[in-house]
Amino acid sequence: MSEKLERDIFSALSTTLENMAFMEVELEAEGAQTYPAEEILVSRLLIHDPIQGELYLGMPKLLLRKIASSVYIMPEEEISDQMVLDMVCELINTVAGLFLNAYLPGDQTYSLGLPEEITDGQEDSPFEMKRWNYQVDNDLFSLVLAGDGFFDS
Amino acid sequence: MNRIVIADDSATARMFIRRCLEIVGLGEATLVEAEHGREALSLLKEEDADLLLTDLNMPVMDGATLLKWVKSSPRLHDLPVLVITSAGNPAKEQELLSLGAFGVLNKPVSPAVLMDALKPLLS
Repeated sequence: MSEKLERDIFSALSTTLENMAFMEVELEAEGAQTYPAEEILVSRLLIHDPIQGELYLGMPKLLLRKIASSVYIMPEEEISDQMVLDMVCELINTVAGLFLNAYLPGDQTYSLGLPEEITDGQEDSPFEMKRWNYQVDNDLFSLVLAGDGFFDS
Repeated sequence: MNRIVIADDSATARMFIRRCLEIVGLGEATLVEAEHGREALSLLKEEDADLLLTDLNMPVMDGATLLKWVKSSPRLHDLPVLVITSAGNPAKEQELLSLGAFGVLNKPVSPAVLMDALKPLLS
């Protein structure tokens, strides 16, 4: 797997969270806060073209609430579950666009599906998958890229 | 500007754009939100608007179809349409500009970038 792939994924996540919520993404470090599966919200976005694949973003609901609180400028306790769900879907949508813009050569166009929640909390793809763990404010979250075409080289 | 329509299926994205518009000094305009292109079109037919901000990837009616509808309508033809999308790149941008978009911005948009894009309309 190329260093470029890793770099483009990290850059897409960093840009998204910095611009939307002024939050800094860091690589997973020892002591990061982990959460049980039921406290994690997972969204999935299909990549249709030019490479068939999937992107999954799994974030703790508490972290999503913090991010939404920053975007909506509302106290965390006033952020609804729907806002939290919408937040993770908008994040994966934005990350996917930035990632593909950086990763694909030249001005190659691409086609994405609509983000959706994975209710059983599991990434289950027929493609080869790679998971990266990151943290924001010491809260651990993960991003999974699936798609044989991403890992050929 | 008196009335601005924001079309995006994500409430978060609509809120984020609303915040950016407020920061660039357009908070006093009436900001109307639509969850997809078809709803935006209904809102535009209901009452005149000064600007349409639209996402591309939406259910029911996507942003490119909405743009084509607007540009083919004698009444809405001159309405400036700014596309704000996560699926933009130079080729896509050219395609949208040729369809009549006023500009194309990539998500996540920032107030500074939005301000820059809207400058010709604000002066």
